[in-house]
Amino acid sequence: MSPATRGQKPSKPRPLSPASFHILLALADGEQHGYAIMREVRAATDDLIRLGPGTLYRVIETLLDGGMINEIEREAGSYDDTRRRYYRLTPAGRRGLEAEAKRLANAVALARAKRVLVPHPSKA
Amino acid sequence: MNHRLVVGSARVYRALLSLYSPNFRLRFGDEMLAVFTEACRETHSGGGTPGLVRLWLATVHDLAISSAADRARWIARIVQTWPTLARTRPAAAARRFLAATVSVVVVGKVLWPGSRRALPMDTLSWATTIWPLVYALLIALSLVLVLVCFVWIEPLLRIEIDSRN
Repeated sequence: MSPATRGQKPSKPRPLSPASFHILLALADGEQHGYAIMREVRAATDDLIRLGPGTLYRVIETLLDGGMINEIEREAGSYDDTRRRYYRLTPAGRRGLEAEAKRLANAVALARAKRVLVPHPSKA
Repeated sequence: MNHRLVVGSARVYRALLSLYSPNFRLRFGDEMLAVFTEACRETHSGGGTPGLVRLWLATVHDLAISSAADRARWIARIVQTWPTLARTRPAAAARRFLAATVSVVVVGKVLWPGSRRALPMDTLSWATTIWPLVYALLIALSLVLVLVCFVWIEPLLRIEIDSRN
């Protein structure tokens, strides 16, 4: 063990940014290309999170470098398809997504316990 | 077939991609352009020109924020991979900075000995146009000197380098 890592505890996964979380969530059902991810995030958040190409690909770069997603090869059907790349969740990305979902669920449970968030009448 | 506004927007966006760092552009530039073009096409067919204007406003905001963040990250990476700087101890870096500052002051005094005197703006009208240029040149020269001190003067000053190996 190197001196730098000696005595260090295994690090907990850091909370994901809302953009990273929603991008990973969009990829949870299967591989997607950039524009499909953008549309799905927009639809899933009721237009609250609107990712522009710059933000989208900056987050994608971070997720790729962090090993949470990877790129996959696909046969190109048209000119646009040759420029498109598809992304897929890695096992590490799925673990990170689950950890973040649990963290958010815990936060919601806490908000309910403190009566900050009132349960929906139909479920009460 | 694409509307000319969509084609024009794509051209402008392609030019604006130069705001990003070369690495980022090489890795994602084509894809970003494809995504933007697709968004333009869809917005224009659904919302017409006003929709396209709204898309552009959002895109300019996105460009400004994401390109600034990307450039900052790019500079941080360059500094990290710059071997001389990355391997320097803080004390050595401080000595280099001092050497650079002294050099800049000395050269500044030699080049411009009367810098503390008031500028003769009232008598020399040409000076009012030349002065900003002189300032800019001096600042550029100072920056070059700082770089020279950091990179080349280091062996002369026998500054200790912390070798990681």
